[in-house]
Amino acid sequence: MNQNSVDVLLVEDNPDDAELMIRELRKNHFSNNLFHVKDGEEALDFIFATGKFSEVRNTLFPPKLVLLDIQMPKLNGIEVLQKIRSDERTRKIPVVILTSSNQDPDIRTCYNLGANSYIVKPVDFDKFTEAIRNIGFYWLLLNMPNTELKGDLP
Amino acid sequence: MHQIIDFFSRIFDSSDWPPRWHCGRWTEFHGWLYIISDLLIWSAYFTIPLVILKYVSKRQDIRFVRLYFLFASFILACGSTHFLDAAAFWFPAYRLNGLMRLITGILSWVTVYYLIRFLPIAFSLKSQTELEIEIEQRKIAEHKVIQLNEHLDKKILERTSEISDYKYALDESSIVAITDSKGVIKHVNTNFCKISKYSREELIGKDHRIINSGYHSKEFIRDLWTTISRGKIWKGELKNKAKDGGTYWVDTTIVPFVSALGIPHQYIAIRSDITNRKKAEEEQALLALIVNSSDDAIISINLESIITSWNRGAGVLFGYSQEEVLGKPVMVLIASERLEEDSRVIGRVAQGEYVKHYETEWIDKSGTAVHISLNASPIRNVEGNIVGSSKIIRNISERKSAEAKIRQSEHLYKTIASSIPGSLICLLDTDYRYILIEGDMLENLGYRKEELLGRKCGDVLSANRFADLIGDFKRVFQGETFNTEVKILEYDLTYRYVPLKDEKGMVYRAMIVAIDVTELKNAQRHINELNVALEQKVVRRTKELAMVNQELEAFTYSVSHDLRAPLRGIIGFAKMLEEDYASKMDREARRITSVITTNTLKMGRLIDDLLAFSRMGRQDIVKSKIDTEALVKDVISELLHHDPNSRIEWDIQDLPSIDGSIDIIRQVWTNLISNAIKYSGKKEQPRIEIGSFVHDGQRVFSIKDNGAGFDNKYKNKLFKVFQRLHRADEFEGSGVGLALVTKIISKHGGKVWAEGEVGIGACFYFSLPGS
Repeated sequence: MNQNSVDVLLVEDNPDDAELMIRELRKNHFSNNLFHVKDGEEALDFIFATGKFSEVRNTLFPPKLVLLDIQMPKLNGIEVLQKIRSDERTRKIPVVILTSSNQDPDIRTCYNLGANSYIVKPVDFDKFTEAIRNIGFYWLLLNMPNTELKGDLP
Repeated sequence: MHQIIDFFSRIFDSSDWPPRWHCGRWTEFHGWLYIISDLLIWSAYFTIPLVILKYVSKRQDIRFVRLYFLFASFILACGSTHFLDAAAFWFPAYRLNGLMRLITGILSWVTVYYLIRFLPIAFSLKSQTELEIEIEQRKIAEHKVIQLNEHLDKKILERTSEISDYKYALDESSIVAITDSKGVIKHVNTNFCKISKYSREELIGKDHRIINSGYHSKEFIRDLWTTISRGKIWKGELKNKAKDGGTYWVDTTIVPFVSALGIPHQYIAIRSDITNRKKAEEEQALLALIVNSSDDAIISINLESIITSWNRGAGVLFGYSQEEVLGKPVMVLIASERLEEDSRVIGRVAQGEYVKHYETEWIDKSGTAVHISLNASPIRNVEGNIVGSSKIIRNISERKSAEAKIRQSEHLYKTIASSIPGSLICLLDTDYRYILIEGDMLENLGYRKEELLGRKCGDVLSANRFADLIGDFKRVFQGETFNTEVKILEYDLTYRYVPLKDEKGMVYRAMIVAIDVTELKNAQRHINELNVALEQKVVRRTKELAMVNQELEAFTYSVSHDLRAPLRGIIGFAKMLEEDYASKMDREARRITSVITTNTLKMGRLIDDLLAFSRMGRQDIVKSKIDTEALVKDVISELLHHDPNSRIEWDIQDLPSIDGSIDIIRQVWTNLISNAIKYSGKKEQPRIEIGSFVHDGQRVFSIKDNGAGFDNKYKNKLFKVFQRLHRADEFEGSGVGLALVTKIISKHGGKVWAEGEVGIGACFYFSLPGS
């Protein structure tokens, strides 16, 4: 997969959740250009084309959507969001926070940091898959992507 | 008649007759004789009335005047006929002549009538001779009368002189007035005027009451009048009033002048002025009254020490009556050991000395010693010789005992003041001089009572100390009561300044009470230190609590996050199993996966409820006005959203607005109404009533259903977390809902309670502050 033409970057440490989400997105054909990273560090490497992605990635080609879990080992989702939003090159990337936590402080923090959406992953499988389906529809089909992101090509 | 008219209309007409000369044969001589004779008669007859008139007009005492005038008229009329006869020789006016003769005739007869009437009287008048004789007799008689008169005059003169001597003497010596029988003044003498200050003109004709002073009783005055109106002489002393309003006393004798019938026709009042005597008497009476009414004993003794006067005060003081002591030696009142003292006093008074008040003891009738204050002064007779002494004696027993009491109470107060531990009391006069100073703090502060008493603060205190105090002194002397706190040496002192005021409200003393409050102050300091320590402890505990809280939040967070994730996994993979291996799973396998899913979902709800419950504990209440009715309707419609064909019969009464935190009060309504829906769900006709009332000053809301109800003996368990009264296969539930309701309502300051009966229904109540 060309890692410079990723539609969805899924940042999720829980392999079960990741599998369920990928499965749902795949069922709805949103998973062709989906890339899954398992922690915050890896997510930042991918986005900023650093570490193991330095050879294969270019920041000029950001993902169309980042699905970001909050509770992760090493760097958590909030820190990742903070990094994305504080860099001029990446701050316009749509980021949807996906989390099990319905705790108020997290929601507030994420919006303050510029999250585009905040989705609590329901325990109920049907509701969960519905939520994932809706996210896919909305961000990948309905929402008009910011053309500037690619128009900045040198 | 015609002739008469003709007669009078031609009275002066002479044409009907020839003049007399031509009538008959008149010789010149005969004619002129006739004429001259008639004229002579006429002139004489004309003169006679004139003479008579002249005579009559000069005489004053003339009688029969009318006769004279008649006679004169008659003569004049006669004369006129003669004149007309003479004139007829040339002017034969016989009509006029006839009329004249008629008049003469009438006058003549009138005169005759008068002569007949008055001549007898006229002739009765004395003749000249008779008169002369009579005059002679008269002269002799007159002479005799004159002689007699002279004699009488002489006698009268003698008498008059005698009377006027008496009158003079009376007028000089007495006040004399004469009134008629009714008391109207007819005469007053100069003395009367002088003493009454009225003029004679003002008095004469006035009622004698003009000088009535009103001093005497009606009976007295009536007695006076009764006496004199019976013709008897009245004597007495009268107080009269002068014109200027002043009064005077007169010794009065009233003598009635009685007519032949014995009725008085006038009174003569003879008075003498006794005002001075009366005044002296009054003064004397007053003096006696004063002496007698004095509470002091006033007595007099003669040179032989015999008591000669004894007033009421003396009787009260010594218990003897006047009769008992008058004439007795004064020694009966004096104890033997005091006799010498008394004889010394007597000796000094005998020398004419005035002995001022001195205190001593005399003996009263019962033999008890009486504390007295006594002064003695000499009594002199008219010649100025000392004939005795007067003593004014005052009972001072009470004063003595009062003084003793004051000394005792002063001692008591001083003792009290000096024996209060850790205190100091002082009194200052307006010069800031120490009048009194007591208390054990004095020594502790390094002063000695003797150094301060009677001296001014400014002289005995250090300049600095005095400068500190002067402001407070001024305040207290301006009438202010206040406290100050001072630290002197190692002592903490509270000073209380109290102004002492006289009856006019002027501050004449300042009382300053100092109390040693060192221990109290130390205790206060200790408390302050403890308080500071306590505050530090509170801060530390608060911090600790905050940390615990934070940990709790972190715990909650991880519960919510970490516990949910695996549940999602379980459900998700079970679902995957169902979807992906549906063909390989039999009916039982599918039932098992569905049980797994159901339980996991339940677990998820449990976690959510638990989190909500725990979050509620930390949530702040932000109150606003809640439209209860709208809220309840909203909650119901939300709850029925999933079941539009609900059979529930609703009875929602008026629900007033109330203050509360809307989000969580919504939770309360949601929980309670959803419970009601849930537990009444199995009834044929579910019915839910929602109402409101006021109880104990709080607004109470009630939610009543006709559902499963509960046993009242378990009702206290209802509101505890995870406590349920129904099995899960009867009614689903986490056992958190009512616990949450309780928590929310108690955070609002309200209460939650419930009533129920198994199979009949349940009613839940919650109250909120405010009606």
